[in-house]
Amino acid sequence: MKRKLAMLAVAGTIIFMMSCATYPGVDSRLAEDFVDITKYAVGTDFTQFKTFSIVDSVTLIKDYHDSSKMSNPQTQALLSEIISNMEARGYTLVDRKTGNPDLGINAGVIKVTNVSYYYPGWYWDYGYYNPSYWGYPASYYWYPYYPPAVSYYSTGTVIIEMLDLKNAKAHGNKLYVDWVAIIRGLLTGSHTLQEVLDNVDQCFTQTPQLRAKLLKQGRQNQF
Amino acid sequence: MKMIFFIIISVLLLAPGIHAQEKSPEGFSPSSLYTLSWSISVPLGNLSSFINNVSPAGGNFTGRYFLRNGLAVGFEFGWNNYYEKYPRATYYGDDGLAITAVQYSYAFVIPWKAGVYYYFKPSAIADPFVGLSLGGDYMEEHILVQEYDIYNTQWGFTMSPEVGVLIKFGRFSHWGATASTQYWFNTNSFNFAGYNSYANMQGLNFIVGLTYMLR
Repeated sequence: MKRKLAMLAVAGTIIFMMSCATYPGVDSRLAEDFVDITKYAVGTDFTQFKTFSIVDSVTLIKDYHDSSKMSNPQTQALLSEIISNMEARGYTLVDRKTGNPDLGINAGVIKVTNVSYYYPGWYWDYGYYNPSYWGYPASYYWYPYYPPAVSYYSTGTVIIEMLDLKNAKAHGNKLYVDWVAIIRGLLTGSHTLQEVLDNVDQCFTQTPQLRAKLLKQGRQNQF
Repeated sequence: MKMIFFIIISVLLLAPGIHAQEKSPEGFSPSSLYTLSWSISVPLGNLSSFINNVSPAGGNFTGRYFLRNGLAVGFEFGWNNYYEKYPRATYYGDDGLAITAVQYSYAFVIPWKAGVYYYFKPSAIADPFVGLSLGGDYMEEHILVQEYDIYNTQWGFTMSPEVGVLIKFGRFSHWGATASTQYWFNTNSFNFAGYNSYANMQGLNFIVGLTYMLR
């Protein structure tokens, strides 16, 4: 009798365990591949901008007050890829100080372990580019939309932000972040530089609104 | 669908007559039985538009109480998890958001039902049965992209006809196995950010379980 009951208990447990299988957890999902998240300010006419400038190095944000500017072949390749995408969309690269750019582009790499969940912008105080870098010392950055929340920055993240310099005065000296791109997954698995650059391309591809000139009907999604 | 209802109702109406014409075999007719089962579910209809994978992750617990001549009423509590992994693609929100990533669709169904059943040979070793249960379905549907979890939850009406067989482990054993097939549909409907909507889910469950019978 005891043996029968034991067998039934084992069978019941197996049935229960089989019936409880579920989808992969968040850790497993996060480790799968790069994820590209972009958000733009709906209603912004990106054709009003013709010129842009970009930071000359990439900020590496690790912890509070522990950031540094990186300039090496990898970061230069990242910046060059952003420039190529902007130029392919009709924008002209100009000098930050003398060219009076319509758009400014910040780029950063985040490798922190003490932040599990936050909205973009928290790193503004982490040694990120100060608005004074763009000639607006009395300004501050501003998202004119609800920024996408991202957690698990410890997976390694590239942040690209596009600032509206052209309308800074009209916006009360706020530097509107009209577009933000987040590429996450640098520290999961092994990735080549080319894979990172391909994901930069994807961020632009999934934002067809980024274009200096309107295309003819039917060609809006061509790149 | 109409045919299934017709068959079930016909069987329930004719059941006492059929039973009266049979010789009662040896063994005992249970007064009640309880079954813990593993449920494999095949999504159909609009559920299969959301998730097309067969779900092995399900189970249910039933209790049935015999009134007379093989006619029983009972309850059923169950659960089924469905999920499907979609390859890396870009998903757009209506607020300027775009995400390129691998996506998972996930659905969770918990039916709470009461039903009426007819067992053709309550005292036989192999006892086929039919039934119809009605109740409420609690359902969650999730779209998972990395740590993002877009989901809806809802209660809806559910109904499921069922055919199956109870096999006793011996003429006088209190234990047996139940195998059945259950078609179900519910009135739950979901809408994801105005883009994808799903209504009136359906599925086909294949159920095997252990049954304990009381005299």
